[in-house]
Amino acid sequence: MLYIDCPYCGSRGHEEFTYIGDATKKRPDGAETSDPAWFDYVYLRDNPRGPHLELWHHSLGCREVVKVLRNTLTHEILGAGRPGDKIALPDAETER
Amino acid sequence: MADLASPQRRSALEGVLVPGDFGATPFNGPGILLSERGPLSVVQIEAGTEDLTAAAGNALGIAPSGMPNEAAGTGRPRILGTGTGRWLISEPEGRDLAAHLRASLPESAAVTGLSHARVCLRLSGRDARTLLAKGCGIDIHPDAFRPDTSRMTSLFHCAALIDCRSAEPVYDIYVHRSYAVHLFEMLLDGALEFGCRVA
Repeated sequence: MLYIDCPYCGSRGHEEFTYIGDATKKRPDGAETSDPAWFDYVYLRDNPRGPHLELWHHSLGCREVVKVLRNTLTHEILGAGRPGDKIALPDAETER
Repeated sequence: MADLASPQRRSALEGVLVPGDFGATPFNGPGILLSERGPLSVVQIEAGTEDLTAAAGNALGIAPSGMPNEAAGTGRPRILGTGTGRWLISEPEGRDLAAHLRASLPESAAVTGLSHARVCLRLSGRDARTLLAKGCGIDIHPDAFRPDTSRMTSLFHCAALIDCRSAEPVYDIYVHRSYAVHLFEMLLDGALEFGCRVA
């Protein structure tokens, strides 16, 4: 089981959460009309081997969205916070 | 003719919750006591742009706790934290709690009456912790899940709010009305090995 440190509830098992997706994608401004920008936002995702910032919904707990830094290789949860929080990637991994 | 303007409350567990002793009969009495609390007024308040703690404290006589998972009040009312800036208030039905809160809280606050949407089960007895452990993944050790704290979690696969009323232990479990039968049956089934007194 993965334990995710929910900012409100504290440490909880991952089965209380629902995976939302990549947390690094920024929604383009509503006035943005270029197709590539929207195509990128809707469809294009990196598939990193290692730390990955993602959003999880604590659907069976406080119903808040939690930003999680998870290692996709080892499933280690490296950090968690609110969606607005900055979660620093480990140095060794960002150099890759 | 029945008064249509004020319908009678009908328990979601009517016909399912049958008082009596079920399962094992330990020499020292049933290990689980299970009953339905009610009728309760249950209202959710959620802060908009302003902090609600002071206004809610004035309206209810007890200020909700700003600490996550911390409960306030002794039952008249009981205020449970269910998220950032969001609380569930419950008290035995007597006044129109939702209208009272709507009138006394700032405009930006969201007030939702949930009296008919929630069922409150009271679980107690010496084996209550073991029974909860069968259905949820949170730490229910008495040092971790202390009295006057609550947890939003999944209990037998349905979303529930578990309020630890005392260390005896006594738990109040708030569940969505449509899941009440499922949860009650799972709790009763899990309690058979300890002996369960349903009241």
